[in-house]
Amino acid sequence: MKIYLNGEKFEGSENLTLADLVARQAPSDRRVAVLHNGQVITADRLDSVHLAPDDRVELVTLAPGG
Amino acid sequence: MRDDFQERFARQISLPDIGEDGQRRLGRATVAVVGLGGLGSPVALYLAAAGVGTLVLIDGDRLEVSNLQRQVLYVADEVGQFKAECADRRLHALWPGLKTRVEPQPLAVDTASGSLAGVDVIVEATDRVAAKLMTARVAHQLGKPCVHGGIIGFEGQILTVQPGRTACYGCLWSGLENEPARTPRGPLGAVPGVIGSLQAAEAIKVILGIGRSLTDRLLICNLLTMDWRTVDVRQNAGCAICGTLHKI
Repeated sequence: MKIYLNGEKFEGSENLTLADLVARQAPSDRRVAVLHNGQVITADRLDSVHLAPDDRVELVTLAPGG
Repeated sequence: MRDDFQERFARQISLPDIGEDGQRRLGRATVAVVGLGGLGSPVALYLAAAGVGTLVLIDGDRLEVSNLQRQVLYVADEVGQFKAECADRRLHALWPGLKTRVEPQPLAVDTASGSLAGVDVIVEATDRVAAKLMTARVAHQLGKPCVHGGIIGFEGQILTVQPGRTACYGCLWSGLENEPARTPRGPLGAVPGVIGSLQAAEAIKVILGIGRSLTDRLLICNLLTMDWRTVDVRQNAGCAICGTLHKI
């Protein structure tokens, strides 16, 4: 199944959840916001979102500096 | 004075999107710059240079020598002085017609509304998530547009917010008010230079109502790879600042 992760094509398995994707792809040492087709998904809901072909997922790293 | 105005701002006045009317509108505008560090330096410099009439300069820090690698408003002789006061001097030297209100203390919950109530646009250039969220909350409460910037390492981000109408900073990051501050790595000094300059451009566009702002889309720039992209962000009903689920 093809999805778009951070703007690039990504091949994911069927029944892939956002929680699976975040566990594998998000940097472990930084805070990340997860957007699914533009919608922010909070950590408690990542398990419940099953990805569909052509979905757009963005893992946005917190940039706290100034 | 008129001649000085025409001569000083000739290049901007020559832009069809600005013109003499737009330049005068900039002269009547008030912008708050919250945070006068790496981001706030180019923000304040470019807004003053562009002829924004009044700047509210908010920062409680004193200049440290380690700031000089990226905070281009300041010079080495000013180490130990309040940044807000140094910025005031520097910006007046650049644009003597500038009016300022200098607040050499950090934005605080109990005084933020007073600091920001009279402004047209807020530029958030702080260096802590809690301060970013507090600025976002006050901007939302006051109904003020806010241009957020943030940096980490070689990366920078910008989000412009039209309160109540577009996704706010809290839509992405609410809940992190108590995020422990980590000792930052970096940034490369040019990163806040780029991001702060873009924030200044966004603020000017908001004042003039021109162009397409970074509303409902987050700009992410990586200066190491030179990858620039925008990410669509929708309003989050569960946002603790603007979310409809939190309205009474």
